[in-house]
Amino acid sequence: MDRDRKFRLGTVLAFLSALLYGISQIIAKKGVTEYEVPPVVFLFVALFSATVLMLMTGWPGVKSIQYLPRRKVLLLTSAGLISGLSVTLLVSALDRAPVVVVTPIVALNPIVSLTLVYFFLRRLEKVTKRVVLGTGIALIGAIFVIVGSTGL
Amino acid sequence: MEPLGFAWALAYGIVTFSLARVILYTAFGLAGATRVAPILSVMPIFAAIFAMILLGEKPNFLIIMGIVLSALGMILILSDRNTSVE
Repeated sequence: MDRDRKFRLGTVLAFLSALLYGISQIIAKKGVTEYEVPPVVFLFVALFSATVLMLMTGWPGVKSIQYLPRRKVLLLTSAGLISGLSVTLLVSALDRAPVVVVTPIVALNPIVSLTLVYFFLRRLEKVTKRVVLGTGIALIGAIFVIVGSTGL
Repeated sequence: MEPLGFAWALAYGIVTFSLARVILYTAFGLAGATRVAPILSVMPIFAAIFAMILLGEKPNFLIIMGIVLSALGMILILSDRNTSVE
């Protein structure tokens, strides 16, 4: 697959992922407000789903973890723990605030990602001025949503 | 906890971990974090649309403006094709 096609497909998949994450906010909101599902249940279900996914992607891939350097395993474990914590915090937030407030705040994560890309993936990717400007405008948009929702 | 409540939690797990996450990681591999991570900021637009349709939440003028600004920022990011280091 040529570079342009990979780029386009990656962009389409990123949008599809954003759509699914958007839908997941509604599902979580329904669960915690209408059916009073405790946020920790979402964490356990997420863990279950991740296990199913791990088995679906193939046992040989899972077994290959033992050949990874310990430092990489620790890095992946940290990513998993942080991800689990983020699910619990997100569902707790949805329990206390409207979706239109929570999701724009969650959407600030590209700022964190771009900062980390700048410091740790500089050899692989460039953070251009246009990307920084675009992210800044998106951040202002998120602030508008927060102000509009809370009346600050 | 009601069985239907558990069904919602299960749906959340399937949508986020078994679908969205796999698609997201594939996108990271194809287009890179610099391009993919900012695209995730369109999530509030989708969430707001579904919140209006399914939960009956009503966004005001500022919320709509915020969503429009997020979309503009996104267009700017998407117009930049110079993010990968050769």
